[in-house]
Amino acid sequence: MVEFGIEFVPQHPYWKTTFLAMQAEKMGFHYTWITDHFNNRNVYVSLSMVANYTTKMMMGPGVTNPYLVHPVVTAQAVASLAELAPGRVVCGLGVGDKTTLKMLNVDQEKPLSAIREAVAIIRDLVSGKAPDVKGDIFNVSGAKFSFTAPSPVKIFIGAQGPKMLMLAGQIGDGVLINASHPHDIESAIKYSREGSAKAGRNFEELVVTAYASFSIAEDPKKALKAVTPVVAYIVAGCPDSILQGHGVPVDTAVKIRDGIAHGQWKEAFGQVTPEMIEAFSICGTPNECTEKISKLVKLGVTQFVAGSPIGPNMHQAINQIGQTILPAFK
Amino acid sequence: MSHADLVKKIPPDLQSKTADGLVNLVLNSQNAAKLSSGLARSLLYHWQSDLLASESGLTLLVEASSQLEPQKTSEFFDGLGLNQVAAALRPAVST
Repeated sequence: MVEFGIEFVPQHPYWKTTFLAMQAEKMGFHYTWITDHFNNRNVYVSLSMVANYTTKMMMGPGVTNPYLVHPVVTAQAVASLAELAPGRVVCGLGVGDKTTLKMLNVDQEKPLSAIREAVAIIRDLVSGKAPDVKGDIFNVSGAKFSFTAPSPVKIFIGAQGPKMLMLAGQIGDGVLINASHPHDIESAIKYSREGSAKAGRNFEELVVTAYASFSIAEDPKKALKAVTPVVAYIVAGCPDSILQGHGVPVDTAVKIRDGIAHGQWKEAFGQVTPEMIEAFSICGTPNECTEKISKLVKLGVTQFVAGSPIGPNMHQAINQIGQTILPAFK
Repeated sequence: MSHADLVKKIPPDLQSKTADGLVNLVLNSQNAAKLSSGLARSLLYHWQSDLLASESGLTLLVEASSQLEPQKTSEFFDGLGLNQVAAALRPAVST
């Protein structure tokens, strides 16, 4: 059975994110993922609220990055959250959003090393051990928490490029594939499977997650309008190889990236084409969305995350997903 | 008239529809950040306990929506045919 997750971007007041997460739980979603961007509300404050007001849902940052948040701090946060919601905490880890990191002049230095080392540090600390990591990016030796998380915290690796997907297969408990098009998902699964085989792991134990920008509405035009800004951000942060794979000119992506960086939203969003929407989101009526998710599930996806914006009206969109999409996959 | 008194004027068969409509107003308000922390917590508690369509839940929702979206709240009750409630919630026109 495929599981369903939902992504929240805590740009709204904490009570709104909590309200909608509760609604998602009531409608049958299995996971809440909350993004971690410095310019939004803090991810762990938001997750703490969700932990207090839900009873079954799994939850975690989706995703945090080791460049802005040291893995020791991430480990401390998820271990503490696990006290609030034992057995319900996961940790999504990725290299971060290029556009947001650029605002702080932070480089994504040696991304594979950063993730590999961060996973080792988080995993050891959360399980009560002292990590011994002398890596390219982090040097953490002998540090230990004064408390122990009451339950294990699975680490999901956010990935898009081949090497990161392979790494996710090698060391992740799950992979968060930042894609929505069947072509991208198929190739992502292939790379993760390769990584898994290289590490001698059973790939079937990995939670294969399609983490897709999603917009649902009875009126497809409204769904499209809601998803356009999000697709602009995705294109702006997308590796060139993936853009080229979908026939998206790299210079257009650069224009979008520059527009976003300079707050020229209209110019940036105006560059988004129907082909980009098709390549980088799942968008449409409930039936259209069900059909698109179904294609991903057939490729081996075991969790589908409805990512931002969810729909033009999030409250209604969660109801639509719960009433029409989730039952189709039971 | 207090919000609790206004809620007593909502017929039982309209309580659930009223709760849904007010939730939509509150969640989609551009003024969502203005909701007081205490009221937000009470709403979350009622939502958690499936009590938003109860008298106490509706009282909170009326309070929240008239705080965030006074004009739309009044229009919403007009749309339900609850004109007395709508009139009581209609924002005063400043002269």
